[in-house]
Amino acid sequence: MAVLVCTDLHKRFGNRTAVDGVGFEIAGGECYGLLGPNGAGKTTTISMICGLLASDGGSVVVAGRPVGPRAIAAKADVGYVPQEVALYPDLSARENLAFFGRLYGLTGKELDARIDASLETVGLLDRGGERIEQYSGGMKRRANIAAGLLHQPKLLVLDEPTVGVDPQSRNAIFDTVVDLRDAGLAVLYTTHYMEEAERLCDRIGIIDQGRLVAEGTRRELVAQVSGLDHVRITVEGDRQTLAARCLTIPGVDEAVVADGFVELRAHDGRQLLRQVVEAADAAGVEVSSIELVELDLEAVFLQLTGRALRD
Amino acid sequence: MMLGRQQLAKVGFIARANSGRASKDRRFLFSAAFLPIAIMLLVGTIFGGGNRKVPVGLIDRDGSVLSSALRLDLQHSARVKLRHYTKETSLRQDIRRGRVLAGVIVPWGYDRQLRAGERLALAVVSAPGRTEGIEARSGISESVTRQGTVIEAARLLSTSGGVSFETALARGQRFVAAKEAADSRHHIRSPFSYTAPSNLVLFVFITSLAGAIGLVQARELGVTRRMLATPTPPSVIVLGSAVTSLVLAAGQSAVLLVVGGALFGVHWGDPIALVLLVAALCVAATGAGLLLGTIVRHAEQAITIGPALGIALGMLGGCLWPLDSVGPLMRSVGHVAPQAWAMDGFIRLIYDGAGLARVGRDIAVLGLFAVALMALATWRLRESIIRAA
Ligand SMILES: Nc1ncnc2c1ncn2[C@@H]1O[C@H](COP(=O)(O)OP(=O)(O)OP(=O)(O)O)[C@@H](O)[C@H]1O
Ligand SMILES: [Mg+2]
Repeated sequence: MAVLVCTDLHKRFGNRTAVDGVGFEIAGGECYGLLGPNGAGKTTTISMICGLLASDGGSVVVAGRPVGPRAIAAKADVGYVPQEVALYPDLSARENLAFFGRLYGLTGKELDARIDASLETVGLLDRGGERIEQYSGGMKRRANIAAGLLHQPKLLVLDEPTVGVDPQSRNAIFDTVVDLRDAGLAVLYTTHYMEEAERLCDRIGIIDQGRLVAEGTRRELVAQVSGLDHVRITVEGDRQTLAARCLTIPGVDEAVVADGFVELRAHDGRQLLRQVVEAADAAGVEVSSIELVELDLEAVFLQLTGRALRD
Repeated sequence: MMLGRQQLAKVGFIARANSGRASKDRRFLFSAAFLPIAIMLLVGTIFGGGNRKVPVGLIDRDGSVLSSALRLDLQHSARVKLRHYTKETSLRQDIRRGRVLAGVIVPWGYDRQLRAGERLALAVVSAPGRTEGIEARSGISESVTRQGTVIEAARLLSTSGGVSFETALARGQRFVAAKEAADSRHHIRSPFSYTAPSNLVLFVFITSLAGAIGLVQARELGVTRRMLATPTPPSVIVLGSAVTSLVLAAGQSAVLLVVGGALFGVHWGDPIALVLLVAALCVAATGAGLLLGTIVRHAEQAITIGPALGIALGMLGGCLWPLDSVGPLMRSVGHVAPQAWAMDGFIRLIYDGAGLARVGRDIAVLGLFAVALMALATWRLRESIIRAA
């Protein structure tokens, strides 16, 4: 069952339309990625989902309850991890968590237990007594996530949680998100890093200029656009014969012979690999490597919007 | 909007957490408590004048029984050291040169008008920018009040008691003089009597205005936004901020009152009037600080504008030099600042020994400032918090 259902969200700032008819659902145990360039409307969409911003149209329902600026109680089901590190730098992680925990209505032993659990989840249990300003960038980001987990929300909303983070912390954050998803949380993850969306998210919505231009699994998205994978076969021997044989494999549209390799253009490169090896055997050439360049989300974005994901 | 118990409890711990943060901040402690105490100490020691009598010039244009009586009373005053003048120009010149710090001009017809029970004005001129001017004015006002009381009593006696006015007057004067001699030790006034209240008023405002930084930072950090993402209505966040500033202003006032009383020997006067005056001061200052927090956009702006505004309003409102010592125009203009009303109240309490009845108007006007500033500030703050989302 869907934890988050948002439908036809609209938001205008003056005469600029920031969000224009965005709608999607996220089930429990699912990580949904909202992928889009700067200014696409990710944060604005999230603000409406977290009940921070009144929408100009559309609806947000979390765990069966409508969410909005005036729907105070329903906010208890949403955990919000803002794009910036929104913690008091002069307080320790624990003190910050105690502060926000109380705003979520937690007190006493329950609060202490939840602070420990949240710090544990992000791997900061032994450093929780230190002031936020003494943390590294990655630790700050992790503490930022912990503050969104305190009250055991049903929906966790992460707004670009890995911006400005070293690879090690980034991996730690990924692991945390995967664990939380596997524990049954619905996760909404926004990013403008294609690799993150591909690696982490079960489904991806591509957002551009306030519109959700495509949605689905990586594979579904790739299938939506008429692009071809590139398979580069580096070989010794008769490349012309290899090219001719490869062209007979179903799904291969084109075979280009170049200096030292043959490159195939095909619909689903991954499915071809065995047949390519067989063709090489039949052609009597020695394959030294096969490289598969799959159509990625970058290409999908380019095709759908006519622009590159990163400017 | 009605807030439930749980939401009200949130107001409490928002205030507790934030005032706790401030009280651990060394810069805050320095500028809110250490600095004003240091300035009180410095100014009080250098300019307080101790128990020295303030030189005051007198021109007696009436040369009558009652004008001589006033002169005599001033000569015996514990506060005033009297010099005689005949020409107003030389009196004014000496005031300018600082040889006397105030001058009284007893007008022609003083005696006749007083006997007739008419009201009349005594011209008092004081030196600009000197705190002793208040002391002089206070000494003059004491003598005049004493004389007024004696004359009033003598008039009553002469109309109903069969005693002549002159006899009754002489008796009254002897009685008052004896009482004064017995009370004279009460006249020893702390040299910090002006600098303590003026720095209290000045710094409660400066600290509250600088407190705008906290609001702006919470907005810039995104903490306000995160608070709104929790099940907490904006009004609770507004109340939490207001209570935080109020707690800090009240704590600061309490420290400065205790230090002023215990260390500097200031007699703050009527306790009920004092508490009301300080409460109105704290609310007004808090309101001004919160309002500033909704006007400035960045923390740096708050850091530069807050204290500067506090000092400017303090100057205008008589915290750096008494409004008694400026011209009537500046005195009126000064009263656009709430500080001026607070200072009027403190001076009446400390120098004139006034009670609630006489300080009531100052407290009421300051209270109006407080209510207006607070109402405007909380309304704007709520808007700005909602916009922070
Ligand atoms: N409060 C606001 N007032 C006016 N315009 C706004 C406001 N917030 C966002 N916008 C505009 O709405 C559009 C979407 O902004 P949004 O912050 O949602 O983008 P984003 O996808 O989160 O971008 P980024 O990756 O840079 O965080 C932008 O054009 C932005 O300028
Ligand atoms: Mg954003």
